[in-house]
Amino acid sequence: MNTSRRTFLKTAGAVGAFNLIPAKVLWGASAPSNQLTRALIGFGGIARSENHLPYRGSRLIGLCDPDQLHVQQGLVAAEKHGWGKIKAYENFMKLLDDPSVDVVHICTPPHWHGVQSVMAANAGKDIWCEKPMTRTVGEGKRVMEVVQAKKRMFRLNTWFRFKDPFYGFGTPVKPVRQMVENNLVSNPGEPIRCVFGAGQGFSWKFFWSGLVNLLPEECPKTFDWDMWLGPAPWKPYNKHRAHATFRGYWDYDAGGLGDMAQHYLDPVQYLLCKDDTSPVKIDYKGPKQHPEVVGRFDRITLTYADGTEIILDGDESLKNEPFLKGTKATIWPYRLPDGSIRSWTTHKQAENQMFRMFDSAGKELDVRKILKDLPEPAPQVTDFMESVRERKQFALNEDNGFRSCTMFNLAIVAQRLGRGFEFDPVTLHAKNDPAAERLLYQSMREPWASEMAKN
Amino acid sequence: MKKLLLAVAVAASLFAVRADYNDIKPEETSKKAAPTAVAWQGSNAKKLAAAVDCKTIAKLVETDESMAALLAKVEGAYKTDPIVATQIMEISHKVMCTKCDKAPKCRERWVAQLIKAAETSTDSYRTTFFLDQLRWCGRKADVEAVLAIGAKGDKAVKDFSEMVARELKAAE
Repeated sequence: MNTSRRTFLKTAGAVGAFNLIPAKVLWGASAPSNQLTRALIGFGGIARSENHLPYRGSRLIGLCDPDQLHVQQGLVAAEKHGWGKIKAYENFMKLLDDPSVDVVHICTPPHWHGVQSVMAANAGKDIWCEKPMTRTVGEGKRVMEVVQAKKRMFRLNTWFRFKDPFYGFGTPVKPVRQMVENNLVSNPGEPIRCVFGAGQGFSWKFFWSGLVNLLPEECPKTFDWDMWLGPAPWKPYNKHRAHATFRGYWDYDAGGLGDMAQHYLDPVQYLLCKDDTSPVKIDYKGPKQHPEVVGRFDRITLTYADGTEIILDGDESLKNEPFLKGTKATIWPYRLPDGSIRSWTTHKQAENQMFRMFDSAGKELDVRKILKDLPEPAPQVTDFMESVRERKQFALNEDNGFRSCTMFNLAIVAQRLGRGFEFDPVTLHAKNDPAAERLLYQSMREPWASEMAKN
Repeated sequence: MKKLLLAVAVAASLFAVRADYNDIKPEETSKKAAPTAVAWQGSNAKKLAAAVDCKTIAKLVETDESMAALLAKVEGAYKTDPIVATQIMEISHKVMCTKCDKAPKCRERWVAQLIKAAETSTDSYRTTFFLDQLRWCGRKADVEAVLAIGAKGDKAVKDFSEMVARELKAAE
């Protein structure tokens, strides 16, 4: 959106606030011409979910996809959802060239997220990007640089740091943050150990695994395979590489880690108050990986400089461990009367649930009573349209999103190497480890490599 | 006619689209069901561990001939034994080790074998497989050789060689 249109919308709101007649009525703020607009890049599975196609915070005006079947499905679905006839762009570059698009929703596989975020920022768009933010640290760093240089608003499509019950853990993240932030789990500077696995209510979804001998197939004529590949190395088409199962291949994503890591690790980074740093050591236990196809892991440990550990428990050997263990207390997920943990908690269910907390002597603490006296964490901007209008950084943005994505990127490097390595959270490079460095900073095909480098 | 066919295809696909794409499992989408990597790791755990242990890898890189013999097992059209593919990947990573005195010399020999295998391959998949390995262990000095491989190959090989050359130009 050009600056004058956005300025108009902001000014209209400000002027309206000083009028007796509400701005909404005076200016018809709900009228299409006053709404922010969005377009979807990619119309696969995730584009159809609640934060993209049906989202009412902005007006959907167009989409694109290298699969013409998806484009046609998108046009039909948009009408069904009350958006009328929207534009089908020939490709995402044409979409980015359209000045009537304010916000782009990047709903493509992860190998595209870095390139499309950089190109969108350079085109003057605000960005709502699917997770994980990027496939590599190199791409994430570049996205952060360009988004900030171009003063764009950026958000990732995960939200547990600011709303909703946190998967099988059964409660939102905020009260856990309050406990950590107020030094009730460990004293300042003392480590905390965090375990993520089935025993704590989290699944690593190892079913997102590729097929080891993927034979080339004829590509459907409606599908632009070269465009779908984009920055990824050229490999022959097989339907299993694309659409819902792309997760199983290192060139595009990272299996269950790719699907869930940023959903899990971002809220934990927030509740551990580690938004401004990254782990310094990564350890790996598990089988060696096929060079092209994502397999499973047993355990990946991310350790911060202060000794805080985040452990991804793939083989469930830590299933009897607490979710958080500090020097002063442990925190455990909510369990149903039969001892099980819900894999998903609704808001209604969460009203009657609370995590359990025990002091270092094993005595259970009254969590609700403690929480009553604790200050609230710093407020966050949790409405992205407000972020766009007011030009205020969103709760999960290019900064803290880069850090939580870096945890994911570090974990997959350890998995691909089949061993641990060390990382410098300030320089953002592997320490004395060229093999790890090559995986953290990867090349890509043209013209996308050049687009990443553009300012 | 084309529009009609497209409309029919869209209508059919709308019925086929699942509400929750996360429900689609790998086995359901490919008729030529090869094992998943997770299944393969599970059913070959001991064989895989033995294939990449230090002694086995040391034997595979002992001579230029043993390296060449391993690379000769790479097959066209994605039919390579996954154990072989994993061994090759393991070597490409290990030769980058900064803590081992023998690694630099081993890397020089391994990279030379990868380049030779890529130069002499007549199958596009095999050539790009070797180029892909050079991504992880190739050196600045190998850029010209990599580009020359691309100049002789099809679009896939040319694309790959240009990408790898960029990687190596920026390498340490």
